[in-house]
Amino acid sequence: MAQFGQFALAIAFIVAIYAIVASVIGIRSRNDKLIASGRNAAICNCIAISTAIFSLGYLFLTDDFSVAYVAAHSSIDLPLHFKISSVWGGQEGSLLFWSWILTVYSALVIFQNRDKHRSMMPYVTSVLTATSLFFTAMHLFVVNPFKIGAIQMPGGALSLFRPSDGVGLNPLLQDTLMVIHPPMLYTGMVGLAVPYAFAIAALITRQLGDTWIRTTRRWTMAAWAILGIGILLGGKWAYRELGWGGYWAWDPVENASLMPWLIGTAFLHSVMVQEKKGMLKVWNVVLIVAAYTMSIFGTTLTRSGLVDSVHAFAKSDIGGYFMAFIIVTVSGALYLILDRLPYLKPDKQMGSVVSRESSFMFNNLVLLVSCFAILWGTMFPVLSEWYNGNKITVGAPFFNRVNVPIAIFLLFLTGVGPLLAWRKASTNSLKRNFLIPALIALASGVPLYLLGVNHFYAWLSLVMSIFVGLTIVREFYKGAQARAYGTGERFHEAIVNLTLRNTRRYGGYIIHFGFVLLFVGWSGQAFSEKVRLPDSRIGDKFQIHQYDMRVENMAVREGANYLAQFATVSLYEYGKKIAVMSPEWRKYGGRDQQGTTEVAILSTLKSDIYLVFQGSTDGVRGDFTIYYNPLVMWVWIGGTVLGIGTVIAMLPNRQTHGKTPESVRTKESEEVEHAV
Amino acid sequence: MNTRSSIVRKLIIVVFLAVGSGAQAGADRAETLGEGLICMCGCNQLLSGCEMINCPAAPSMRKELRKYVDEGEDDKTIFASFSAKYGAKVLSAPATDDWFNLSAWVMPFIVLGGGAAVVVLVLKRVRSGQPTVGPPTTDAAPYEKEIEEELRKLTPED
Repeated sequence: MAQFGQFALAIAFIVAIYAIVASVIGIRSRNDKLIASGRNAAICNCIAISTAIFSLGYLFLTDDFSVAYVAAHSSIDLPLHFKISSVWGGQEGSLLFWSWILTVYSALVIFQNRDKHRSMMPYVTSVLTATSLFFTAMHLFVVNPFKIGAIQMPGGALSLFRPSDGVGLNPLLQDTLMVIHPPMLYTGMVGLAVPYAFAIAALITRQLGDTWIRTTRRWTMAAWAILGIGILLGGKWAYRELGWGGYWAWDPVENASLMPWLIGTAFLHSVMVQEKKGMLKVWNVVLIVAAYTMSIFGTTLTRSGLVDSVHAFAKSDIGGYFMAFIIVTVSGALYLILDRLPYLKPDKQMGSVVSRESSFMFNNLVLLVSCFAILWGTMFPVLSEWYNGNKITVGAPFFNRVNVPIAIFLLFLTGVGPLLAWRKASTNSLKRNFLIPALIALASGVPLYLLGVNHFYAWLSLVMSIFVGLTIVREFYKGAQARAYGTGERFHEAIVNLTLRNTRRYGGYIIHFGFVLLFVGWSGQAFSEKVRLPDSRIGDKFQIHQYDMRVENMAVREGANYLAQFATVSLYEYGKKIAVMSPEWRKYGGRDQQGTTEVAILSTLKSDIYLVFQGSTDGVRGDFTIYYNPLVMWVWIGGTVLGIGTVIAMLPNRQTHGKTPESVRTKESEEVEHAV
Repeated sequence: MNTRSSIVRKLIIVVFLAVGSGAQAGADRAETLGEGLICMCGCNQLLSGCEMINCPAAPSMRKELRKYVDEGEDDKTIFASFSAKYGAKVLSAPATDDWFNLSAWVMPFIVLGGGAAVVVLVLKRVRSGQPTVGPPTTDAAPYEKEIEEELRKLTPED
């Protein structure tokens, strides 16, 4: 099967070259048959890479340890779902997985647009397939997942070697979230290749209106949302697997996934200006090139070991190849942008400084500065080493201090931007939209402070969350009230119909509301408490916040491929027993002898009690750490709302059947006019 | 006698509480300072956050930190001592002692300021009454617009 996979990769390589050449020559010579042939070749490329990835999966499922990659990342006793996730658990497999998702995207895009955009599509096919070709070349010549295991004999000769069992998957990756998180992250990152390919095709064909943006809008939104949810799932994994009590540590690998997402967010906002007003055309092309480049750069950071990271599970010398690829793609894109500048001039003038357009420009500025700050902080240790030989550390305190104020300003824009009118917002409309939410938010600042929210940024973030939340709720209320009045629908029906009749606008509001909830969750971090309890015995009691705990028992159990020590701890709130928690310390066979913690978390809307057990030496004493983490659940709820909002925003608007009263039509069209 | 013993008892309790709260304050300060340091075991986590079992570095570093705190050293001296022993890598954020490290902190805000200035300039320039620019007047341009319109018709609406 390894040879079969290898053969599939070789076929993919040849077919990809053919797809690029046939598409470009086909469009240049206006040969429809050649264009169709190129298109079919790109789909064949997807089939070949799919064959390769499924071959690799088969090798894992059948424990074929003659393949070096399988032997290094799996073992006989590894549960089935982890054998599947082992496919992307290391360098070679994860790159093949990246490649596979790209070819699936390519095939879907090519199929969806087979009868559309005749002049652009051959270039879209070429750009997507060229990216795939780079990755296939990497699989074949640099990081081959089908390489057969061998050992060096005395005298230097290599001899084939098949171990009786594999080393096993990294224990930290043996978590169900790791089955979902990397595919989500990759699907999001790779998805940005679609709008990028259309942008390049638009530049080449000089079709720089909004066709490429409208065609890729859903692809971009889906990629952006999947990447966002993937990032949050990564946070959830870190929260429950790494045992340090938090979900975001500003680790380089975390940053690598956040950067393309931030640029993607800027892009999704600025394309609205181009669609509605024909402005920011250069900016949009630059943004999507930057977002795509950052997704490749993120993969480079994750996989090259360029920077130190707790998440970099695979390191190799691929960094140079990736950097060369980035330089080539960015240079090509920049050349095209500069050459096509005359075609990228705006159709309309900018309105007032207080307008939707300008608020989107500031939104873009803030998002990009945030991205720059993260990139700067992530790469600063490398720069420092180049400059003076000292590899310094840039950790969470730096990123928090720089990014928190920027993020709060962004939250403010999230509330203000969508309610400003295009061209110019009048003083009256500003008052009408913002005065009441602003007054309520400011007034709520006092009880928040009195309730103990005395951390400035947390306080500001909560006040701003109330302001933005109210502006959003008010928009839904106003719209639904008008609709209910005009149609006789019940209020909740009116909300649903209102949303489904203008999915993009109201889906957008729901996404923004998801962000408000995320900020509420993040604000809680400022009030985390932690207690270390070394050498605690059975029967010992300890306290954190309003909770008391009692160690009831310590014992050992055997898992599928690990041995676990676990503690049973009773949790009391104000003297009443509310839960029994069982944190574990596991030791996996085969691979690292280092143990891992499996924390116990009691999660409520108000706070999380997070209990870490670091093992016992004699069965009666053990080390514990307890965290009291307020509002964490709101982070996960916010992520869910964000996902729901994105799905709604991607739905086509529901068409009105039958009669809609004139009053509602007028009111709704006024609102749409206001929003648009 | 009763009064005296009661006073003594109260004094003992006060002293005990004072020592206890002092110890707690020391522990809290050490925990906070631990966020300014990186665990040197290679996990790349903050010293206060490293929960690695049998970590070869964190326990001794925490002990060292606690010793400095108990000795009443100020934050700057403590960080300088750690930096001297483990190198600048032990600090979780760049120091501000030279212009290069300082640039880590100020650069994002310089970019923010510069970016804001550019946005304001763009807004001013575009608002200053420049005529709306039409499609470029190359030979292909009029046809491109037409083609785009055709393509628009062929593409289903969002």
